[in-house]
Amino acid sequence: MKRIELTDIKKAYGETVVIPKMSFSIADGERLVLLGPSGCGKSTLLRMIAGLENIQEGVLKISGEDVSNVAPGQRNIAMVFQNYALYPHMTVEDNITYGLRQNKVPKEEVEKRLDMVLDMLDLRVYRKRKPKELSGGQRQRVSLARATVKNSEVFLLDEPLSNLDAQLRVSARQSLLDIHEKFKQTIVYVTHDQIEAMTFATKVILLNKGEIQMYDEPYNVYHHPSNVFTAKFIGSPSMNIMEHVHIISNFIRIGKQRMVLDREWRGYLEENTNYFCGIRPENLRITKKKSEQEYSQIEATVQYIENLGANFAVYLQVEGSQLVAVIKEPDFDVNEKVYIEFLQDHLHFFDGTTEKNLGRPASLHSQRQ
Amino acid sequence: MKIMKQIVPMAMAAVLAFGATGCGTTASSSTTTADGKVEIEYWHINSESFAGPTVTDIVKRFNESQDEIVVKEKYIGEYQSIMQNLQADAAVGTSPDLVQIGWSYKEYFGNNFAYTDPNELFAEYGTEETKNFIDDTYAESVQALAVLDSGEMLGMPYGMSIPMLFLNTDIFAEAGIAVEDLVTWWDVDAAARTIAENTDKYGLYIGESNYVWEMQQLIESNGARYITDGICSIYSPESVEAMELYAGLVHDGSALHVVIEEGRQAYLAGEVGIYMDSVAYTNITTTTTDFTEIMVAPGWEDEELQLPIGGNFLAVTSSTDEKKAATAEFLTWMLDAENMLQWNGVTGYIPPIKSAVGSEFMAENPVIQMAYDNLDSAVPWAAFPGNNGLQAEQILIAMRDEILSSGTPSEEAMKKAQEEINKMY
Amino acid sequence: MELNQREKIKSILFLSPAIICFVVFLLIPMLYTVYLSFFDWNMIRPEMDFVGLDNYIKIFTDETTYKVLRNTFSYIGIILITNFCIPFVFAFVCKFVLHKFANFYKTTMFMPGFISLIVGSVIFTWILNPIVGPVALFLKEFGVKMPVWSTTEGLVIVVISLITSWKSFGYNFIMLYSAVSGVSGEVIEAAQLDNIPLRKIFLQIVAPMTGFTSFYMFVMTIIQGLTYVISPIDVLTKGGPNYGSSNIVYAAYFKAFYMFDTGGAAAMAVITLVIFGFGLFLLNEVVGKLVYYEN
Repeated sequence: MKRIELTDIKKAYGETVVIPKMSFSIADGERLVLLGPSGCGKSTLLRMIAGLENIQEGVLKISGEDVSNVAPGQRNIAMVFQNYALYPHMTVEDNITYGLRQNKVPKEEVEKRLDMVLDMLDLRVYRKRKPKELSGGQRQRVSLARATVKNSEVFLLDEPLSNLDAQLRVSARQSLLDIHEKFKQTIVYVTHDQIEAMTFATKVILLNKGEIQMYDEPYNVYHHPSNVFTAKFIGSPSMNIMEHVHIISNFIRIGKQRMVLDREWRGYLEENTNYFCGIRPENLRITKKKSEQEYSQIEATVQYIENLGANFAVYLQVEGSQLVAVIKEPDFDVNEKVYIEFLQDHLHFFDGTTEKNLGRPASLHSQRQ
Repeated sequence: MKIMKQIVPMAMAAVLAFGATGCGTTASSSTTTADGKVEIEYWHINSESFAGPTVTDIVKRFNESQDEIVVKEKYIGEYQSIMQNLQADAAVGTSPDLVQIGWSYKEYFGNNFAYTDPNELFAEYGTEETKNFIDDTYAESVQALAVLDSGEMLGMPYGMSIPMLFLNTDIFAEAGIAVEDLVTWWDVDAAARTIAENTDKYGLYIGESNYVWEMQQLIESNGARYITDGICSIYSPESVEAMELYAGLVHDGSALHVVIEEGRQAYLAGEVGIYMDSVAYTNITTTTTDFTEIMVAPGWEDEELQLPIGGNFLAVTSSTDEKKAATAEFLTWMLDAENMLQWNGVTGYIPPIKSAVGSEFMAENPVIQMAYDNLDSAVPWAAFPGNNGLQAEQILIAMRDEILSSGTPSEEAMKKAQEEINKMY
Repeated sequence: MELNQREKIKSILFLSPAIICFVVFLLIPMLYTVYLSFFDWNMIRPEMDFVGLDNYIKIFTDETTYKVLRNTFSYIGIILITNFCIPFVFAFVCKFVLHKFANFYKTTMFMPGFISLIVGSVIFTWILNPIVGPVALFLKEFGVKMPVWSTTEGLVIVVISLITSWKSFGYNFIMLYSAVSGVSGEVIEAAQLDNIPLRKIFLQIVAPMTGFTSFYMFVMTIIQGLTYVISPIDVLTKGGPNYGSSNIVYAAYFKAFYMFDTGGAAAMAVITLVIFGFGLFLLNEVVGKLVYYEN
């Protein structure tokens, strides 16, 4: 069942058009993450769903009802803000129960929900404290508690973890997942952090300049990016994208260098056209010694090597451009000449003009359905 | 340089600190100007719109006419403000040389400030011609106004006014009344009611200043007396009768009950038929309106008309011989017929000097002549003696408002006021 | 000189202008006033008669004192509404509802504050003249007769309070607006999502959150209000009718400068000080503890 539906939504501030025309829907119980760079419109979208921004054109439906012009308080939505937005002059328990009390929820019910959420988020010790006496992580939990206690079907979160340090983020994510397990709300979560997105979401919408780049599950977004933007955005270090790549007589031409195209790929793409070619850093292999097979490798010079902890990122200079490879243990040094192999199972080709991913032959890894 | 950075702010702070203590030094009172002239200060109530330029002119011409004395004239405000400023100056030991003192402050001034009896002033510092200046200039009866019970003369009567009625002839015509019909307060009562009935205007407004002057005319003309033998005697059948007439008109809407500024504006805008105020108000009414006719405030039947004198007298408050002499000379200039009448013409006050009688000036100013003719009925502004005089006046003003605003019966209010005043003595 | 000593001297020197001003213009006059209240004097007579508590007894046995005291509370009540509550609500509306006009209102509301109170009082005497003023004439068009407020007890207090509004409103509005601006928009949004009506958002969330500033403005409005009100009273009614527009502050002023009763005025001033000091203490105990300090 579609819990949230957006149809032909437009939003502009004066002359600046933030969202030209957007339509999508979110299924009930989904954990949808709106991901994208600053200014892509993800917060605007979230706030329009909440009712905190008005929708200029288009229709927003929640649970089948048109709520485009309904006041935020009437949409039965819970929201967690980036800066928590707690009422500073109220205690933790007053903060959590304020909305319920004001909406005439019976006392026993309020008590019951309060108890539940205090335990669930480990806040019982702090119930009589005021927000200024709490740490960032504790305040965040109170904010979550306040939203949870509403028992709404839709749960919106606007970069809720950006103000927390790395460790807290992990535990906070866990709490969120627990809540979702229990209540099965439809969650819409805004973030610019792709790790957060990939780990938390059941579905990701990647946005750029007010347009949807890709709407799919995290696995597909990572392994089968629908366009160059998506390919470059997801993954760290980013996918290597090479421009002006041609296929000629079953060779891949990258600059002046040539590499033999694997059997599976032959015939799939047109020759003599411009492509973007992408391959993730972890799908490159580097050897010091040139391979005996002709045209199976590209020459490169090592620019520098970064220690990532579990791996190493090697920055290579190839034909005037830079490639990044992620390998376990480099057995070479900076400025050395090395040879790179592509794991062609994991190659991506994007149309030279539309930048759309042209897919792969059926025999290779394809989209998960 | 680092030291400099520290020293400069510290020095500034120190300077400010000492500057703060320094501020408040009294103004220097130099008695002579740079070129050896004697400087004297004259305080008055003549604002821009009330003969201020005239005073400036009189003073300027005096300064130009000789080169021993320079007079500095200062507009202070109302008579009230003059008292406040005198007070403030006295507290730090300075004083002006010549001041206009409102008649209602006669007692208070006499009891608290240093002044020179004019007779003594001219006896001591006058020239051959001016040794008897006071007797030469003023009639006995006028002199008497400025004399205390003890026989001392406080100053020289300067501005004299009596209550007048200003009539809006347009309204009278509309209401069908003739100006000649107004002879007594009973007639005024009838006229006010007629006006209120036949037109949408107010019949009467008696000026409600922060003084008891206007009420005094109304009540004492009916035979009552504010003060008898030094105590308050305002509670009497006659004063109750007079007050009830007035209160009656206010309560049934024929008469206006507002503060003086509002009342004046109302009359000038043509909303009031009969308006009682000082003769000094003549010029303002005749220049602003074209419907005004003026008559002396009336009396009642049988009883003697009482016209309390308003205005001011000039008091000499100089401290040094030099200044007293200079002030004496300035006074002869001020009270000289030409200068005096110039001031009277603009202010509307009645000339206090003998030489004004029968002069051309009077012929040209019929209203002032009319007022002058009634000086037989003039009486001093009632001033309660001693330090409680000002307080007593406030009690009477509160009484007036209690009767007119709250509707307390005059009998009750007046009795209470008299008791309250006499409690202080 | 040791560094500490030098720092101490520096700090004393920097504080000294303020300390001296405070002592000279506030502390000493205050103490002198208390001293004067035990004398019968008019500031110029060479002899000051010591009368002990006479001045105080006179004030407490005078029935007008109680009227004046009641008036004072009426003034405070009305002034709080016109110069505190209304600007507060207005600031909230301007900030969170009418965003576009906020700057326009901020400027126009503040400008009247530049006109002196005396000038303003004189102007208002004309504007509010119950017979011929513009307001009266306007009302006449609708068949309404403007009441003669200047001599009507009760009404006179309301109108005089209103006259001072144009002076205080702008400043108070701006202060409260900046306090309200300090409330984060997200908190309001959180409340909106909880379906809290605007009126409750103002009363239960925004107002408490402006805590310290509101408390300060509340107290200042009272004190400033009673001070400002002296000018129109002096220009228009001199405390009348029958002390109907007088309050304890004006009464002290009147006693001093119209009656020249220095001792009585001093006693009145001391009584005023005690009453307000006690009031402030109470206020601080009751409300002060609840006040939310933003930092």
